[in-house]
Amino acid sequence: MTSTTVPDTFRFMVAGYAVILVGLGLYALSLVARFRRLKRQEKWIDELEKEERSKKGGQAQ
Amino acid sequence: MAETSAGGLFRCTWAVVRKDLAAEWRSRELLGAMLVFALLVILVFNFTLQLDLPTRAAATPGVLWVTFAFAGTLGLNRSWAVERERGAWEGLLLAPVDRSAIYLGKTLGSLIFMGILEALVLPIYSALYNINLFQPGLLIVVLLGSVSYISLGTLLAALAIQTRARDVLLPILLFPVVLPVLISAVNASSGFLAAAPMDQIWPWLNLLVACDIIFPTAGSLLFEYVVE
Amino acid sequence: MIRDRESRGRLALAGAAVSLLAAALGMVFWYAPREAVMGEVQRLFYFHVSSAWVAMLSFVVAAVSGGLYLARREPTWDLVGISAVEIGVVFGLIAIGSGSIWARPVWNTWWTWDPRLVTTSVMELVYAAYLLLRQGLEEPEQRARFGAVYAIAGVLTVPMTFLSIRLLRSIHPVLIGSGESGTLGGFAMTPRMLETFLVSLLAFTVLYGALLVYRVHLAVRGRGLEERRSALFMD
Repeated sequence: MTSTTVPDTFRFMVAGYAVILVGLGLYALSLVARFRRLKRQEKWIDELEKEERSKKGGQAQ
Repeated sequence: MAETSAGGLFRCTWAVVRKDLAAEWRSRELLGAMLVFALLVILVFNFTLQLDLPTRAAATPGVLWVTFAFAGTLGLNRSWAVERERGAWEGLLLAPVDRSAIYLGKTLGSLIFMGILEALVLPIYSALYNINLFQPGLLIVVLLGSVSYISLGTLLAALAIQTRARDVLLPILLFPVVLPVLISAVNASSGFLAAAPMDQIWPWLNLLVACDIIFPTAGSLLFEYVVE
Repeated sequence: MIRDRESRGRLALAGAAVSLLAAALGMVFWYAPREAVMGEVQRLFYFHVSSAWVAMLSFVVAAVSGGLYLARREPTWDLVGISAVEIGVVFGLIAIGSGSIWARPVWNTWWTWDPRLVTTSVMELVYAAYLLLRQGLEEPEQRARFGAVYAIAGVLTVPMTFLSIRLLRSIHPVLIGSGESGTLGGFAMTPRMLETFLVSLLAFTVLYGALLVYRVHLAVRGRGLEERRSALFMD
């Protein structure tokens, strides 16, 4: 029976897991960034709506 | 009152087919373009691949099906573009006709055009490469493969021409989805050409038949959502 | 407030996903044994297959929500569809990337015509085509409708593609570096490996659920924002 040594494929495992975890991480981060942008835009629209309402209130008088 | 009986469906389908055939017969632009395109594809393969004789024989099914797939997109795009150009699109949709009839009619029409193209390409290829392509097995595969290809293509072409990019999108939409059909068709053709034993070819034929059932059915069911 | 309950639910799901993922990672590196033939790279198996599984699952989710949209015409189903496609693309790329890296030391090539790898790649192409299709349409209603039709057409083709490529492999078993007609990196699974695999699969599925829920929430809120914006600027 021939004795075979286990090949050293450690680097590839690391590279593979880097791809997986970095990929997942980047996507999660993109979601975070997009949520932040959304909240900023919502706040902006809130301001605009408040202006519109106060303008309309002024006109009604 | 919309025609929903089976007889009505058949008559409407046939009316659509006749319309397209008659229109093409008058101008004959489409078939001419498809034929020239197909021949060019074969020529390009010949000069770029530089195959020796035995390899060329082995590559024949692949070259043939790639040729059909590419030339086929021309026909598929034209089949819908013509309606839009002549303003017949709205007319077609306003007609009190079951949408499936339009889909089946278009599919059959395109299938006939594809068949004519194949009937011209096969003898030319046979002559150019000295390979007999007129074996019953191969011809059956060509038919089976074309049915799936055209039924998928008709549905997706209707999608494509309604986008900004129009025709350009059809190959992008069609090729990933039609891949199993092409793989099966190429392998079945290859089997017949190499006179392989039938039990090697049956699995591919079965896949083709399955595709021929699934894709036209899906197409006729989904089509009405494409042309609302 | 309902809003708080929903966001707490999302947060809980995210928490579960992260903990399961951490547990799975722990098992992958410290619980699962080292495989004798391939060495450490075999450990990629757990997350590679789980990613591919999620990519396929997402494909089905996209098609089902497409069908639901066509049936009910509620815009939310369309938002689920586009979210599922987006997440599916990400997991598909991860699966293909990790698969390629795994193939390199094992088969001495960056690519193998393994049925699952090829099917996943074809699926990615269908996803990409889906995104291009939507991009080429201006009306949101058309985008939703056409997207739904294409997602359904795409999902029908995936099993056919897989069957055809697997058939191809069984007839031509001797491809580059492949000693067995089996799929990528065939090896015998010990009980510990199986346990690690199941935990990884669960972790990825829960992670998928969390990402999907957040992505759909983003889409729904984005749509609300658009409506408010157009209402504001109509006056």
